[in-house]
Amino acid sequence: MYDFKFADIGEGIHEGRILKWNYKVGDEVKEGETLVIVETDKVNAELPSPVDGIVVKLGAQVGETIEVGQTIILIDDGSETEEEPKTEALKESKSAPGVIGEIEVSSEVMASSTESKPTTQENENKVLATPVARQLAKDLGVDIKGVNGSGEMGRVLKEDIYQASEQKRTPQTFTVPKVSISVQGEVEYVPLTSLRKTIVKSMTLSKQIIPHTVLMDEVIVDGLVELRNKVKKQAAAEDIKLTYMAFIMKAVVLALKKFPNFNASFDQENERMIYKKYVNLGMAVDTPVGLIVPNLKDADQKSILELAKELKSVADRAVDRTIQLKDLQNTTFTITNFGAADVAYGTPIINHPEVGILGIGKIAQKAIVENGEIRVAYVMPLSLAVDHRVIDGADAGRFLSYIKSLLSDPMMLLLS
Amino acid sequence: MAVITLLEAINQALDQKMADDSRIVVFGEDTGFEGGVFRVTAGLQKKYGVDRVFDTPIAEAAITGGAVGMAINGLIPIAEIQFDGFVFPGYTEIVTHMARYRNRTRGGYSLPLVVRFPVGGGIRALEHHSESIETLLGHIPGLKVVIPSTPYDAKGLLISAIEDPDPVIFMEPKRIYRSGKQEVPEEMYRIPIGKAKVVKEGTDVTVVAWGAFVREVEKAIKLLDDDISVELIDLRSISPIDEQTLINSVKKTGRFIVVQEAVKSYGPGAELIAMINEKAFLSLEAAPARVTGFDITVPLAKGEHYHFIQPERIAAEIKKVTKF
Amino acid sequence: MLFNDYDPLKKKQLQILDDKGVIVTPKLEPKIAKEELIKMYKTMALGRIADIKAVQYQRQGRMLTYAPNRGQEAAQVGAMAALESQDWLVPAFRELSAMLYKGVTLEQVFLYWYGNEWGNHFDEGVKVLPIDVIIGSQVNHAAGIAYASKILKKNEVALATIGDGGTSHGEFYEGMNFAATYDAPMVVVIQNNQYAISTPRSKATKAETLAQKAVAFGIPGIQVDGNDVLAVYVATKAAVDYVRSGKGPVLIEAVTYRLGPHTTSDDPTIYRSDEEVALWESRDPMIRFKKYLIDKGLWTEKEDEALNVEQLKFVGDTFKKVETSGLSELEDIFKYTYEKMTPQLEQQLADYKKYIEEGGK
Repeated sequence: MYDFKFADIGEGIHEGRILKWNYKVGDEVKEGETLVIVETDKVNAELPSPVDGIVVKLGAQVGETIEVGQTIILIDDGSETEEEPKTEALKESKSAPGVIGEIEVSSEVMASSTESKPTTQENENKVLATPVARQLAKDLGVDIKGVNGSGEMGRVLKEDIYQASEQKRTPQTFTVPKVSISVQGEVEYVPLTSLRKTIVKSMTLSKQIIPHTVLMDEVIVDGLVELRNKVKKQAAAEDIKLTYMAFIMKAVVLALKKFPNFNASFDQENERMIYKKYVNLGMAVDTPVGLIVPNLKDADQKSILELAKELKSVADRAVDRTIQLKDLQNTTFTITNFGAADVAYGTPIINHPEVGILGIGKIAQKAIVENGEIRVAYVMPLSLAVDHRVIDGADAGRFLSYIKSLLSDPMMLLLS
Repeated sequence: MAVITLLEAINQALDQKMADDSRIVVFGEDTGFEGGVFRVTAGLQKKYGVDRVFDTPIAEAAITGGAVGMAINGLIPIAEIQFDGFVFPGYTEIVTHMARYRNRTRGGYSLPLVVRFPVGGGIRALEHHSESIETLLGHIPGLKVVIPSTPYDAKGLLISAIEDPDPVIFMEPKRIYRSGKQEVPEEMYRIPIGKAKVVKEGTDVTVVAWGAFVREVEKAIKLLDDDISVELIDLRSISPIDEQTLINSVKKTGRFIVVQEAVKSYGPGAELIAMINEKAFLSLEAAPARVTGFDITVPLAKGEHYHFIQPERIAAEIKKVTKF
Repeated sequence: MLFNDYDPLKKKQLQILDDKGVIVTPKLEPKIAKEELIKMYKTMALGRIADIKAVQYQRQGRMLTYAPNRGQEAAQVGAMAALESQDWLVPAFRELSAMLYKGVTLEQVFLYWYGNEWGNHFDEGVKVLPIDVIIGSQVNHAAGIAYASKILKKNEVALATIGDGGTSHGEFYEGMNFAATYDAPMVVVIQNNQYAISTPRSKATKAETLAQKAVAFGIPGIQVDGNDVLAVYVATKAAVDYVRSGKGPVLIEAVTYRLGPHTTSDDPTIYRSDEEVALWESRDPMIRFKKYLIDKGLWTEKEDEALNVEQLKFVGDTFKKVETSGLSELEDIFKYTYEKMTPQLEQQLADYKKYIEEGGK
């Protein structure tokens, strides 16, 4: 079926009036023959048939008005009901004269025009900064809105951003109080090494922000001594120096697994604990140039022998200063050996951002009371410092107790 | 190697190409017998004959339109318009036909031709002899537009223009036709169209200029203190623009200045700055700037120096931009 | 010599076949081979039918704006028949039959008016330029083509056509003057169809004839009855021979009539009377040429009817084919700007493609 729609014929019309039909329903018509004469404002347009076929329906009668886009006639040309002819030029476009092309004609009325006064709205919250400065702020994690701009009109300069970033990096920057140190007599001025400077910073920081609580106790380690003596030779055969520290590390690792809040960090800014699923056990190592605390990665995955082996290697490297940066990073809990300095008890300083540190004193024979009787036993002193903001005394006590139980009965070390 | 002026380099390029390719014809008003009012085409008619190097009536549309027909029928026409201000009567053919013929015929016909004319001011001339109309040509799709700043570039760019399969507008900065000589290789060589040149490397600010103004910027740089390191780029190709060279430079320096002899608004500077904003925005440490003529008709001799940018004005802008 | 005998300043107009189909200037009747005459007639007829159908298609909304040729077939084909195969046609925009005669296909013609540039891409060896919408510039192009032909010794003639309105344009004068200065082998045929859109010829220029403008260029000019295909042929042949011999250009004015509107968006009843149109209908070039051929025993009514049916079908089929060609390829609108796309164009095309892929419109 051919649906012949009244097309825009480019004469500036949007409607026409049927003047004369040359065919009626049922007539046969040939392509090109004039179907109808339509009267418009300008001319009487003759519309030729686009197809051969039989007239099925007339879209309007003589004298009636027909609009552009309306069906003017239906012709059965044997085809399926055709959609729009394959042209994009059509649709509802109603054109006006112009000789070339198609300009739309529409009687739609637009809103009236007025001359409005220009409104300049100043955005006072806008930060003035160049793209480079903005990118810099992003890279350094600085919120540019909070930066005081020292440039013209309050513009934020790169220097301003660097400064803001510095302040951010050292949280609660401790301002070193200006204390004058009086000297009397001969003195020697020795500049600090860079390692010492680092230690100054970290110790000061730890002590400034962490409220330390220290619990001390001693544990009877006869069993441990016996065990070690037994196994020492075998270990030596495998070229492993089996020290007590290996057993102690194992005990600590087990305790950290049992008490996860000791293997964590306190994220004060976001008011949350960060529990670490990995255990990187830090060992404080005394070196000729100062204290270094490398860690044994994933200590919870290692056997006592493996811990012993790695401990030696790490310690050697620390002394050699061949320690890598990664060995020093991401410690989760630290053990410090007072015993090496021939000392029993101490109040160790926690390595921020850890929350605890265990000091091991020298193992010595002592008189103890057992079942009402005095006997001589091997005793190991323990000093546990904790961050009292997030670990209470009772927790610390339980942690220490557990370690004691493991070390006093080495079988428990193997079974746990 | 010969040491020659820009004008002589153009003559040499024409001469060598004409010897190389018998399809090339050169024509325009007074171009043939006299060799052009500036003598750019001197000696060519004697050498290649009156059919190939000829004078035309005063009819710019016939010059440019005739070039279209000649190119269609197998010649390689190099049409000369006597002065920038007289391009307009011939502009119709440049825009409505030269630029479009390939597209109109989907490659059925193409026009390997060149239109050349002297451009720019600073020579205290009459009206219409000091125009800078890069925008009016660079804006037209289908054209290529180039402008040399040195004798070396003039020869290389012109040879490329002649050999290019598309219509090329070759603008000759008349102010520097004869001022200064340079070593120019004897043999033919090509400078690719669409490539800018870093004339001087620097780190603090990128300054782009072309034609006669490359030297003006060099003069300006000499007025600066040593602490400002300027990277000077000769654009060379108004269309197509060598975006990558400019972008790389701005990524390095973070600051961008265009120096254009042309009238300020809607000039090439606007296009370059828009492009830098689009593609190197995050590298910017200061707003891109342009040093331009004013939005006025080029003044006659007694007023020209206000409009024709002095090196001092360029230096001042460089200082301003680098201090931001 | 023909041009001397028909001096436009002396009000002479060349006519060989009058509007009744009678030979009125027997000594100038050209000796054209039968095949050639039939080819001429068939091309004129095809042009006529294609033209009528194109207008119909436009009225049906299937074709965009179209510039009809009806009434000018003789002025178009008569001139083309006088050319050799190596000669060029540099048309204005109302040259359907001329373009068909010179090898442009009907499909290409329809494709162009349908809105696709591929309609301007002619077959190899077809010496025709695309229609020129910039009035008058074709004369400069023809001058350039002719100049090249001359110095490359190609023996080609460039024939440009222009309307009466176009002869007011600067490029007409510049181009004629340019070609004349170099004795370039160019012929310009003015299709004086009496109207430039709505402006009658008398308002285009004060000169009494357009052919006499040749005097200003120092070249021969001749006015012919543009509806007389034989006169157009004879005048053009004389011009082409003259021009080919290196004597310089010739200007021909073919006086004809635009029986239809300027374009399908124009209403000529506003500016001209029905009487005038009726008069020129009686001078229809097809009527007299058909009679001439039949009188000569070269054609019959029966063949004519058969031709009509055949050509109607051909036109219909061709148009339907064009109708299915659809929209232009996106790449096509970019990649012919230069021989090789600039980086900018590559970028713009790629960005736009991406935009479309991501659902943009």
